[in-house]
Formats: sequence, C-alpha cells, structure tokens
Amino acid sequence: MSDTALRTSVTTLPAEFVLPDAATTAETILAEALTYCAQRLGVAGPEAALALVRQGAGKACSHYEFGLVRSLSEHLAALDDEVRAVYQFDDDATPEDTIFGAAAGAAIHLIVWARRKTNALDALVDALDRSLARRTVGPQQPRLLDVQVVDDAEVSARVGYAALLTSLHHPALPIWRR
Amino acid sequence: MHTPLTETLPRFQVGLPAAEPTRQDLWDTAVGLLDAVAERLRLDPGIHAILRQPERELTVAIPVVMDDGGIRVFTGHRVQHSSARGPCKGGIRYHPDVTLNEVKGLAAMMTWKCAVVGIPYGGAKGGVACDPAEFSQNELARLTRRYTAMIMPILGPRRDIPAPDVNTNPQIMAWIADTASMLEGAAMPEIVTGKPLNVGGSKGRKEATGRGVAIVTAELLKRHSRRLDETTVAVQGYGNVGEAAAAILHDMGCRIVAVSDVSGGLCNPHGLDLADINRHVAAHPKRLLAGYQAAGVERLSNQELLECQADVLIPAALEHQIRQDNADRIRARFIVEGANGPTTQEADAILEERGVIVAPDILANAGGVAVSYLEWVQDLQSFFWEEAEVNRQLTAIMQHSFREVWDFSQTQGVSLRLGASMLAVDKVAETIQARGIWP
Repeated sequence: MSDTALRTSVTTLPAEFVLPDAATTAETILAEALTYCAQRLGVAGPEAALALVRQGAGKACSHYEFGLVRSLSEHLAALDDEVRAVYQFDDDATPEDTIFGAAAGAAIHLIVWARRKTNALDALVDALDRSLARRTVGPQQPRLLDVQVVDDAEVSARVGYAALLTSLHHPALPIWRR
Repeated sequence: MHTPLTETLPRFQVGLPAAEPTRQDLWDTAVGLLDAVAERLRLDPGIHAILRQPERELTVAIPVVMDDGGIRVFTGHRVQHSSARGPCKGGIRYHPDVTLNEVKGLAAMMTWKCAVVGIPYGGAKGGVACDPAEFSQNELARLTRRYTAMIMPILGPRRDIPAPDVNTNPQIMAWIADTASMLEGAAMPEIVTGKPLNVGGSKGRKEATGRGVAIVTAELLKRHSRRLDETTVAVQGYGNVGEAAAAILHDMGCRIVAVSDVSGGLCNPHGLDLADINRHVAAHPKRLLAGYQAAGVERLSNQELLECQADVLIPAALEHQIRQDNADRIRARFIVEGANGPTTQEADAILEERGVIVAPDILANAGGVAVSYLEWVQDLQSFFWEEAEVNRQLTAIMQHSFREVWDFSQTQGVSLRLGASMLAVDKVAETIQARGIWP
C-alpha cells in the first residue's frame, strides 16, 4: 500500500486526528538515527554511519537500531498524546534463550503504552512502520518493527504484553517515558 | 491422582498479576514462599533461618569512562543465596530498574531451580542498574570488566559462576572470562557460562531449553500412558524455545497442530509442516509467521491458540498468559511451561481443580541451566563434547529430575508445581544438615 493510499484509508478517523506525512516522518527518524549512530561511533556524519550500517558493522547496526527506536518513540509520543511510554523487548520464553536464538534481521519488538488504544495510533504505527521499511537502509539491515500497543487497563491487570513492563524474569527496556 | 490443593501457597515462579509481587518486593515474596513450604515440610527451624537470608551480598559502585571522556558511576550487585549444594550459579542482568531486593529474590529462585534439576550448584544472581541500549560496545566492555573485577573476590569456578540474563549475552560472558583470566594470570573460562563456542562455550546450548521442554513433555505423557504418536501439541511462542520444542516433539512423533508468535498463530488439526513454516519464517523480513499460507492451515490469535484443541499446550512466550479469565477455557489436558510464569496463581488453582496437569517452569524450562552446568563441566576438564553427547547428558538430567519431582509429588499428594518447590527446599535442607554448620 502506498503512503497516499494509507492516507486515504484513514480518512474515517476522528476529526481531530491529523495523520502526519509518514514518509517525511520516517525520513526524519532515519536521519536522526544515523546522526545518533555517527555521534556514538565518532565518525564524520550520517553518511559515514550509513556506510558502516550498510556493511553490517555490528557496532554501527547496534547504535543505528537504538537511535531508530529512540527517535521513533519520540515521534510517536509527539504525534499522539495518548502515548505514555515506549519499551523495547526481546521475544522469547527466557532472557537467556533470546540471545542464544537471536536471528539476524529479526523484527525490533516494541511495546507502546498508551492511555487507551485508538485507531489513530494503530494507523500511525502502521504508516511509520511501512515507511521505515520502505526506506530501510539496505539488504544487510532488513529490520522492521513489531509494535504491540497496550493500554492502561492491560498494564494495570498485567495481561498480554503489558506484563513485560513489570516482569521480573524478562523486563522490557524503557526507551522513552512521557 | 493429585489431591487438590486446598490452601493457597505462594509459588517460586514469580511474575504474577497485579495483587502479586512486583520487582520491589520480590525478596519479601521469596521469603514468604519459603516460609510456607518450610511449614509444610516441617523444616528444622535452624535450617529455615539459614535459608531466609542470602549467604552473601555485595554491592559495588562501578566507575566507567564513557566514550565522551566523562565518568559515570553505576551500581552493581552480586548476591549468593546458598552455596550448600555447590558453587553458586546465576545470571547477570543489565537493566535500569535493577535493585538489590530483586537480585536477592532471583538468587533464591536460582537455589531452588538448581536443586530441582539436580545439578550441584547453589543459587546466585547479579545485576547492574544501567541502560545497556545506550552504551557503545566499548562502554559495555569497560562496564563489564570493571564490574567483574569488583565482584571478583566472591567469584570463581568453585565459588560462583555467572551466566547471561536480561540484556547480557555471550560477548559479555567472554569479557567476564577474559577479565578473570587476566586478573588471575591463568586461563579461567570455567568462571562463567553462556560463552561463545570459541571461548569455551558448549554445543547444544541454543536448543537446550526447548529440548528440555520436549523431554519433560515426553516424560509427562509417559506417566499418563499416552503415546507420543497419538498426541497433539500446541505451542504458543515460536522463538528459540518454542521452535526447538516443537521440532523435537515432532521428531519424537507428536503432531504439532498449532504454533504462534507475536504476529498471531497457525493451526491445522492434521498437523503443521514445520519445515515449510521454518522456511517461511527465515524468508520473512521480520522473521515472523505472518503471511504463511498452506492447505488446511487456518490463522488464529494467540488467545485462540491457548484454547485450541490439543492434548498438550506449551506456553513458550510470555508470562501471565493463562489467567483466571481464560483458565477454564483451556482444552489441553497437559500444560508444559516453557516460559517463566505463564500461569497465574489463580489460574493454577482453576487448572488443578479441572484436573489439568501442569509441568511447572522451574522444572520444564531448566534445560538451559542444565547445559550451563555441562558447559562448566567441559571447561573444568578442558575436553569438549560433540552436540550428541551434550544432548544425551541433558536428556539424562531432565529425565532424572522429572522422575524425582513426579515421585515426590505423588508421595506428598500435591501438584507437580508444589512438589517441585517442596523438593527443592528439601534437597537444600538435607545437604545443609549433612554438611553440618561450620565450625
């Protein structure tokens, strides 16, 4: 689905919701991620970082991923007031098995804690995910997002992915909090 | 048949719902459940008092030079709950919310887990309050090396052997081994487990937890005179553990009728083609089940998977999946807990009343710590086994520990979960009594 089609598909959302230009936002997120990556690596700038990410350099990919997640979280929160916090989590039964079973190119798993679940937030996440995926920097880094939205009721009851926010065995990593 | 458990007894598996423990009160909860088991076992008061406190707690302030030249100081802990049965064993976690009480509680849980699975270890845990995602590799290495040096007085292959946990990995274990080796002036790979293969790691670790889940499932079915080739299995969570468990049970003859991951699930009452599914996952840009299509395969949600028609349900994803509100809709006769704490305390009572047999996580997902033990054994003898030998030893350990838990639970007339907890405390207490109190 194109970004234009996406914009069309969400015209039924609440009137106060204005869908951002996903393509532009995704470009901004990627640029911020690469700038962060360059700063952490101490290389000349985003283009130098991009080259390292495209080569699949471990440190570069790691910083790029964190930069991507952090920037995405900030943009999500800026675009939707319902967002309380964003966490990153590992997807496996035990923390040890996450690392032993890590597959290159696996999705980046995020939990977005919102006051309430809305179609608007779902549409925003979906649009950003698609735009980011389309602009993924190269075949060596085909990472995309797996975003689980949880609401206050789920966090309070510790059900589903919300349980990971206060998990003893496998706590999600807080990335951004309002 | 088990006698229904009429009293509410705290569990060793934490990660419980809102009214139950949070990270802050984990130690209080650990003590509470020990008290409850001790009362049931009529534990000697002196032994009980010993186990109500960690043997040793060490808190360190870890200075790290960051890449920008600034210095930051992080708080780290290492807690040894009990060394009665052998050197202490337990992971090291890096997370912003790490607290001493959390580490103490997790150390106690490692004591019980090692005892249940019958490996000669006590329990320990370590943690550093930090946000590892923000660190460069160099900063992470410096933090790890300094933390290792600061807790080194209580570490050692015969004292305390760390392992990976939340946000730590084989690379970090390699740095720990290297730091210890440099400080001692001698190779010490056996001071830590979960290392990469070329630093003294063990073959077979990747599938170990899933293999353990499969072995426990097979043993459970055997005790109920169920043929593997007539058994259907549903697996929630198609990560490392779930995928390995499904593959091994399939090889044993079981029919895998449903699997799921974060993107939802697949179901075919006639059996899923796991090889075909694995090819799809490998080719999927997100490494997910999403988009898989095959004749006879229907999509279902994770919730629907829990309630699907299967003889065995293996929750191998998240905690709190089987709760009070869905426990009465679980159709499986057997549940084997691949994940930590997938069943809440309320749900556990409902399942027990309905006659659903639950193999608890403390036993079912102990394959990982069992192969950690085998890695340590190989490091100590400087002789490394082929994967087949590791798997053979793991099978023996899991079968033996299942048999012990089963027999103990039958004798006591309690569930496998309660039996495993009681057996663990009983084993540690017996060892303390046999060794005596020095001097």
